[in-house]
Amino acid sequence: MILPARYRDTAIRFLSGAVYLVCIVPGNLLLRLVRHDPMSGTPDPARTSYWQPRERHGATKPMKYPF
Amino acid sequence: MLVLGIADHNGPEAYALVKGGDILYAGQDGLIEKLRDEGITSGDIDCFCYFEKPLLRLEREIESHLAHAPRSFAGFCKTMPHKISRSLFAKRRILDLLAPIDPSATKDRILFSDHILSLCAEAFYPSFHEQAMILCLDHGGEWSGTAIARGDGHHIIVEREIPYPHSLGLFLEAFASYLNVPRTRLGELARQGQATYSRVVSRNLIDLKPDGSFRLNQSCFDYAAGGEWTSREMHDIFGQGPRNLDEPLGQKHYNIAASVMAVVAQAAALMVHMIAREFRGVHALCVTGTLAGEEIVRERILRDSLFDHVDIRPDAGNRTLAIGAALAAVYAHHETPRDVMFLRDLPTRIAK
Repeated sequence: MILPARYRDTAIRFLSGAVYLVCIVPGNLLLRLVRHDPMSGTPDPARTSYWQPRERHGATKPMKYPF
Repeated sequence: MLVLGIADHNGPEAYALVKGGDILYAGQDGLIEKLRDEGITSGDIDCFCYFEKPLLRLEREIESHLAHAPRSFAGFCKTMPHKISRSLFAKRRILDLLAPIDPSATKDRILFSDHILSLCAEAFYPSFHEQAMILCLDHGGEWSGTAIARGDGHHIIVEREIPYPHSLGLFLEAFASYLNVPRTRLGELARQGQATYSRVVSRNLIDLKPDGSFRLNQSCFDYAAGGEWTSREMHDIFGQGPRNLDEPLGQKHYNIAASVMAVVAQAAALMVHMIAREFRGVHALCVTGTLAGEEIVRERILRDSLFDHVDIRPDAGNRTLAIGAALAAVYAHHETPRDVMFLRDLPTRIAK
């Protein structure tokens, strides 16, 4: 490792912060613009059920891959 | 066929060695001795199966931060570097775990089950049912912790799920954090209280539908943003913040615990009713996941169930997940025919 251990955590957090500001925050703004709520955080009284089919998120993919 | 299941979800890693449908070993220590006793040498193991899909979990983590920016900034900086390296280099990490057990292990022999599939496999495959419905009530897998699956022979088909961040396990975990007790003690507290807050909980915190599906009011919880478990809005509902460690447990805390457990037990009972109603012709039910270990939930399911047979798997720790991953590889991936009559005669040998 190039950095001494005591600076490593700080450097990693700094990099994470930079990634967050560059990727996550604009991504969030984009999601808000297109009114997409990936986490669907609020209850919807109009719905009769919250069950969803399993096909979402690729769960039917073979076990050979980690995704 | 010899398969080694591996699980390291929130705790020390556990392994399970499965030969055909026979569980030879499941536990955390003593695997190397067991391999020596069985005469299994390095290279005899056909494949290794990890209990979940790490990249799917990472996808969920990132999407969660995306949805909660900029509130999730602190949580992202604190936890994501570790999670990203853990997920991206999962194969390398698994090989490191396997190094003392099988130095000849290679990346192409590693399989990845699915969190829900691992739990369902552990509940269904060792059962004596040719067909069964499986209800999974866990914290959260890659994308869901609550799911309904159908087991038929060596197939498991996950029919429905309730996606993250809505999870009864996380709901209980949030209340355990609010009351400042370990989650395993929540049931004990509930026994000492009255469910006087049930209406408050079901009106403000959870929207429970008649078919047992639910959605948590995320404005009352903060875990999805990587912060505290509960938010100020929930504290306002109960008229006080989380209990301090030096504050003694009082009747109000017992009543909150009893109310939460009552709502969770009701949700589980409604799900069981819905499964019996909609999946007619299947007479057995397997219940698995962390919540299956909660006595109040278990009692309610057994009391209200319309099924002829109900198997409840109480433990969903790493040992359970490792067994499930190995069984999923044997039956679901390699499509080994499952002989239920043979299973009925087979004494399952599990190293304690």
